[in-house]
Amino acid sequence: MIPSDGSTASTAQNDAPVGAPSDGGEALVSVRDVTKRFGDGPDAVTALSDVSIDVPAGSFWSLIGPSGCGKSTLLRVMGDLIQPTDGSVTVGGRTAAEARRARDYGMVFQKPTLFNWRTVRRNVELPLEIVGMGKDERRKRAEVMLELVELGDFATKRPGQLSGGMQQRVAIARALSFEPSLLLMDEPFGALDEITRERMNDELLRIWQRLQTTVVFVTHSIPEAVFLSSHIIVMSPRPGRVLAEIDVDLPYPRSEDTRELPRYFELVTEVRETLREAQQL
Amino acid sequence: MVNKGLRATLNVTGVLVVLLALWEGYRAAALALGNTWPGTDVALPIVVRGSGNADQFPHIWDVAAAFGRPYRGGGELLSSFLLGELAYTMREVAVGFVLGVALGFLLGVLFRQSSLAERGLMPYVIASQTVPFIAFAPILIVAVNQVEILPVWMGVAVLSMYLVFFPMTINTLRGLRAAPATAEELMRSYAASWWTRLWKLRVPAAVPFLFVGMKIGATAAVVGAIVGEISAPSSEGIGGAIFAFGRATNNAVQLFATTIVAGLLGIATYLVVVLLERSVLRVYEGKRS
Amino acid sequence: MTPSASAVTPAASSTGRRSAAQDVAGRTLPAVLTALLVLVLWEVVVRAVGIRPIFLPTPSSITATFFAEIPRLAEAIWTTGRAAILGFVIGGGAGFVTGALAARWRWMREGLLPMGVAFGAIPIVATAPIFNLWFSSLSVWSNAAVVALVVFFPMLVNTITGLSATDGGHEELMRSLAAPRNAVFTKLMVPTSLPFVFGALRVGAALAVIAAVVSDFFGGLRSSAGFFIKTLMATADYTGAWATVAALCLFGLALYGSVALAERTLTPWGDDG
Repeated sequence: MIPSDGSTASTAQNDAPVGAPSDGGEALVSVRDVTKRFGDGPDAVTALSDVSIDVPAGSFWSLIGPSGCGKSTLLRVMGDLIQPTDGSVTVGGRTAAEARRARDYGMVFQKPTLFNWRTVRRNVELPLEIVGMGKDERRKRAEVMLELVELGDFATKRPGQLSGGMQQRVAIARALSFEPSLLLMDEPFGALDEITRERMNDELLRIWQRLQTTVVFVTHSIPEAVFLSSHIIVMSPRPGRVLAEIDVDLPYPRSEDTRELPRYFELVTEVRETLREAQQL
Repeated sequence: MVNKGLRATLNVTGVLVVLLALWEGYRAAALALGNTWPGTDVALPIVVRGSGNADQFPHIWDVAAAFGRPYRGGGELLSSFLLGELAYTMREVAVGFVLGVALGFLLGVLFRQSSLAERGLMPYVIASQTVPFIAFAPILIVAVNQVEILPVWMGVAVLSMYLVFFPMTINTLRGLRAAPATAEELMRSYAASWWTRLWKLRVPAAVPFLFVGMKIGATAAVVGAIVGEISAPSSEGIGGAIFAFGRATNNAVQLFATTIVAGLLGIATYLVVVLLERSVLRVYEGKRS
Repeated sequence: MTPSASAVTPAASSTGRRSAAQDVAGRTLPAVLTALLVLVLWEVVVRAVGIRPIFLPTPSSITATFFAEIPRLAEAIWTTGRAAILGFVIGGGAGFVTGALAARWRWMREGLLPMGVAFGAIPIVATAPIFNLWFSSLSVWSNAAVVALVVFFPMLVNTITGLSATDGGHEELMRSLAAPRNAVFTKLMVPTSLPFVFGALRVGAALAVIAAVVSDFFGGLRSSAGFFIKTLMATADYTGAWATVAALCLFGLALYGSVALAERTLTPWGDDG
C-alpha cells in the first residue's frame, strides 16, 4: 500500500502532502520523517526515529508494537498534542496544528476521560458546545450519536453509573459527534476484558463503515489489530520506528465469522512473528 | 534547571511585597484623597488619620519601630513586655496541646476498638466540628477557675485542650483504619494479639494521620489560648494584651505589633509540629529502605 | 474547629447510598440512643450529686430557659448570625475570585499557596480589635470583616488547588478539540474545582460562626450572642449562658447543613472517578 522507504523519502521532500499517492486513494494524513526526542543531552530518549507514513482517506490503520515503541507518541504527534523534534505532519493539506484548530480530530483515549459532572448526553455535546452549535441542534445530534453507539436509553445517566465498556462507547460517540475527518484512538479498549473488547470491535467497525471516516488506531493486541484494520504498521522500540507494514486483505464487512477464517489466523501469525523479530533486534 | 526552593522563596517574597505595597498604597491614597472616594463625599471604608500613635492605619515601619519603644509612659519596652506575655501564653498552649493530643489519641483508640462506641459517639464528634464550641469559653473558664487548686491559666489551657482533642480524635481513628486490609489479615494469620496489632501495625500506619490531627490542633491550641485569655478575668498573656490594647484608643501601633506576635506564635507552633513530623517521618523512611 | 492548613479534601463521599433504610437505622440508632442515655445520665447525676449550675446545669433547666428566652436568644443569634453570613459570603467570594485569578499566573499561584497555608496557622480571630478600630465595634461590618478574613484563606487555598487538579486526560481532550481558554476554564477547571470549593465552604461555614462569636467576645454589639454569654456569666445566670451556646450550636449546624445540602444538590456526581 505504501511505497518502500526509499521511494517514500524521494516523494516526501518537497511535494504537497495532499498529492502523496497511495494505492488506497488520497492520503489524508502524511507523516514525514518525524523524529521525537524527550529531554536533552545524555538523558534524551528518542521516542520516534524518522517515521514516515501516509494514511489514505477512509481507511482503518492500526499502529502496533511493544510498550515503548512510540506508537502513542506517534498518534499524539499526528493529533498535534505533542510537537515533533523533526519532520512534519499534514492532514488534508493542512499542518497538524491547523487541522486541530479546524477540529479535524476526534480523539479517544485509553481512559474514557468523560466529565463525571455531566450526564452522558451532555458529555457527547461537549465538542459541539465548543464548536458553538446551538442548544437544540446539539441535543438532537448527541441523541443521534448515542443511538449509533446503542446507548440511547442512557442519555440522562452519569458516567459513574455506566460500565467501562459503555463509558468508552460514550467517548466514541463524543469523538464522532462533530464529524471530524480523522478519528485517532489510543488503545481505547485496552482496559476491557476480552469478551467486551471483541464486542466493542464489532461495533466500532459497524460505526466506521456507516460514517466512512478515517481511523488511526493504537493497540498492543494482535487479534484486535488484524480484525479491525485495513492496514497494520508494526513498530519496534528504542528508538521507535516502522518495522513493517502489513496489508490486511480480509474483506469488509467483518463479523464473528471473520475471526475463524484461515486467512485471519495467517495474518495474526504474520504480525506475531514480525513483532517477535522486533523484540530480538 | 531552575532552583525550586529559590523560585518558591522569590514568589512568596513577591506576593508579600505586593501586599505591603497595597497597604502603604492605600494609606498614601487615602491621605491624598482626604479619606473620600474621588469626586464624592463618600468616605473610604477605612479612614486614615495620618500621624501619631493613634493612627489606625500606621506605616509598616512605625509598627516595627513600636517594638523598640516603651509600651506605656516610660519604663518597659513593648518587646520585653510582649516576651513575658508570650511565655505566659505559650505555657497554656503547650499544656493544652499535649493534653488534647493525648486525650484525642486515647479516644481514637477506644473508638477503633469498639464499633458501638464509635457509632454512638462519632457522629457527635463530627457534628461538634460544625458547631461554635468556642462559645463555651467564658463558661469553661469560670467553671475551671472555681476549682481553687487550679491556677487561672489552667482554665485557658483546658479550653485549648478542648479544641485540640476533636481534630485529634477524628484523625487518630482515620489513621488506625489506614492499615491495608491485607496487613490486618497477615497479623490475624499470626494470631497476633490486640496489643501487637495496635503497636506493630495500626499505630505505625496511623502516624501520618496523627500529624494531620496535630497540625490542625497546633493552630487550635493557639486560638483557644487567645480566646480563653480574653474570656478570663485577668487579662494576661498575648490575648489579654490584644484585648487591652484594643480597648485603649491611643495605642493602635501597639495593637498591630501585638497582633503580629500572636500570628507569629501561631505559625511557630505549627512549624514545631511540622519539624517534629519531618524528623519522625525521616526515621520511618530510613527504616523502610 | 480550626482551618486545616492544607487543602481540604473533597467530601468523604456518600458511598453509602447502596443500602436501605435498615442500614440507616443501624447507623443512627446507636447515636440517638447514646444521646438519650447521656442526657438522662447528665440529668440524674447532676441532681443526685448536687453539682452546682456554675459547673453544669441540668439539661431540663437549659431546655426550659431556652424556650423561655426565645425572643432574646433570637435577637442574639440574629446579631451574630448576620455578621457570620455576611462575612461568609464576602470572604468566600473574595477567596474564590482571588484563587481563580491566581490560578492563571504561576508566580501568584506559587506565592499565594504557601501564604494561604501560613495564614491558616494564624489565629486570625485575634485581628478582631483591629477591625473594631477601623469599622467601630458597634458596626456589624467589623465582625463581618473578621469572619470574611477567616473564611478567605481556606477558600483561597482550595480554589487554587481545585483549579489545578484537572485530570491530564481531560486536558488532552480539550486540547484535541482546540478549546479556547475560557471554555477550558468554565467547562473543565471550574467543575473540577467544585468539590474543593465546597470543601472550603463547609469548613468556612463552621469557621464563620466561630469567628463571629469570638469577635463578639472582643467587644461587639450589646445584642450579640457573645456579649450575651459574657453578661450572663457575669450575672451568674449559668443556665442562660448554656442556652445561648445551645442556640449558637443550632445556628452553626443550620449554616453547615445548608452548605452540605447545596453541595449535594449542585455536585450530585460526588467525587468518584
